[in-house]
Amino acid sequence: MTLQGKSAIDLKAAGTEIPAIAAVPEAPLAMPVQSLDAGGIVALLRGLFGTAGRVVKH
Amino acid sequence: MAQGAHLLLLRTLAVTLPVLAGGGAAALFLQYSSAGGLTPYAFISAALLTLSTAWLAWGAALSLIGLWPARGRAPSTAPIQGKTVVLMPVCNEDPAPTFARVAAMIEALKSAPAEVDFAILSDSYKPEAIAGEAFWYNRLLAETGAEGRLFYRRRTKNTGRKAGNIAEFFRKSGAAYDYALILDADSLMEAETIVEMIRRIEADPKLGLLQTLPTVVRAQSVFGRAMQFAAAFYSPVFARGLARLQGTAGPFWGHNAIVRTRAWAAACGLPELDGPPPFGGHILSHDVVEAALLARAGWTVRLDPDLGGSYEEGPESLIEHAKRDRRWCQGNLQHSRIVPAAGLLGWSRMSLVLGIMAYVAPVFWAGFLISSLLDRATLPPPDYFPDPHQFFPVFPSDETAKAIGLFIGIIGLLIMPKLLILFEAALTDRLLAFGRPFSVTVSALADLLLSSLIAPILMAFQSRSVFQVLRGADGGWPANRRGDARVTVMEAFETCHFMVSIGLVGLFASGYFIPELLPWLVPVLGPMILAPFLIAWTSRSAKGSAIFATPEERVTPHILARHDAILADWGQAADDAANATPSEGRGTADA
Repeated sequence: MTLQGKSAIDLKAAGTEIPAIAAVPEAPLAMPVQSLDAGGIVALLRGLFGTAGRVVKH
Repeated sequence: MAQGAHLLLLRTLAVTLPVLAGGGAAALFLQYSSAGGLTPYAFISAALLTLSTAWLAWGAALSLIGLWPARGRAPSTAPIQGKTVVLMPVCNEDPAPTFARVAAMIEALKSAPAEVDFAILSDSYKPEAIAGEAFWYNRLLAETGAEGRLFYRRRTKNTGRKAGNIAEFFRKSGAAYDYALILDADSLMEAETIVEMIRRIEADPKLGLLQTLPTVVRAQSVFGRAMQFAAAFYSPVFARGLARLQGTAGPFWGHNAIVRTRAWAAACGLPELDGPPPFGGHILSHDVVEAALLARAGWTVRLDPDLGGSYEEGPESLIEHAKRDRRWCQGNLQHSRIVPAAGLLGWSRMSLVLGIMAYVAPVFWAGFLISSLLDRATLPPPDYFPDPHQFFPVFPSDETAKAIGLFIGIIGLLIMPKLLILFEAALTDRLLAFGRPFSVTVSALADLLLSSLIAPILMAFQSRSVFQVLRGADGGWPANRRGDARVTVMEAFETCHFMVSIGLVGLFASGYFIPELLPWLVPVLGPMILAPFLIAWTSRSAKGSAIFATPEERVTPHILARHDAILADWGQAADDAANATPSEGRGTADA
């Protein structure tokens, strides 16, 4: 595993194609999109001043 | 004292000082102005001065709270159960140094008591960068034999930039890991630090994110080394102050931090804001928002400034600094959309506001200067005989002492934190790591002088950035240039001619209309007029100087030395791969 003394690596052996073993593991994890909508008093103020339509697009 | 009461006391202190300083400055200014009669400009100036002084005082409060040393955490030797992945997002970076960083960390972690994988997450789109990454991945894999532990993935569409890049990994592979260490392309961390971070997050099941204080390394120019010295010498105290105020809503700076994968996935899916950039679209400065979302979900977000062995690189010239600031400015101003988001903790909102303030404060200073000049220029001439029947003249009261007091107070707020930190470093022997006491004192004085000289230039750049964002200009995400960044006077002039013009106009106008104020304006207008020369001069190499020396320059940390050795070992191969590696436009999309 050490990197020392490895300068003799045959560069031709190192291709420019990404091998299949590079693929990240298949282990999905749910990552729901969060809401950043304003809440409470701010939503009320926005309603009063006519800017309530500004919402977060998911 | 209970922890909650202690936190409340500290936060009250941190907020009270700026309120008092801002209020006091405004009162002094109004008293001074009232001598010649109060104009509307005087009230505008007082309001802007209140906010500007409060911002300075906030910095001073952070340093005061961070001055006393922290109790060290006892290192744990508990066996590590969880599996960790180190994520390195890249985007058109120079691949050889980037992959050499991964190589150094893989090597350092070889015998670590932890299971750690590495994933290079590429958003590169330049063909030469893509080819270079493939070349160096294969080389790295062949040398380390890390099959099954070293991954590479490239997205063809870089949706959401760095945040989207990392989120895509979590959605596809997150369940394979308990923790993820998020790095930047220029990050390097010692194996001991990584292992300690894993132990700390494993020891506290409520901890969702643990941030280190990265040390800036490898600077070579006058500007870069001055910033590096300031970051190494002053930042630990400011960071300690911040950490003491954070409670469970600490900061996230986007990299050199470990997260709990399940907490991150559950809480940090970022939405796209409606509307066009700069205020809509993807969230640019995503890190502060992710920290706020984790805290909102009940997870602790913590900064542990005692964790050493965490490194990053910084800009080498004022122009590179200004480019990065332009991105951060847009990202932070975009946070004005997020401050009112439902459920955020109060301190998270405060952090968002402080981030906005960091870019708005220079505009307040510029506005204060302009309105103060207008105030003086529009003052009516003194009326010595307001009553036509009076025998003796009435002279306006001389309030010059108040103006001088105000000036001293503001300069004190600027200098006092740095002086206190110099004393702290001397008392705790921290100073000796930077060199001989005389050299460090000279470095601190040189930093004061240089930061005073470049402050008006930064103010001009930041004010322009704010106005660009406010008028809807999207700065995009220009890449950083790392490494050599020597700038010529002409190159600097092309970037900053606007401030040279403003400086010259200001100088002649004030010389004509209010010559008595000229000495007060020269420290601001002078550096703006001389900006091309200052920018060019500060981009010169200052490598090896005892001035601005840092502990990492004096004794190269192990991981940096190994990175250098690996790069040197790869030297021939790097030349061979030169055709496959980009030489321009390098940089992260996000750092």
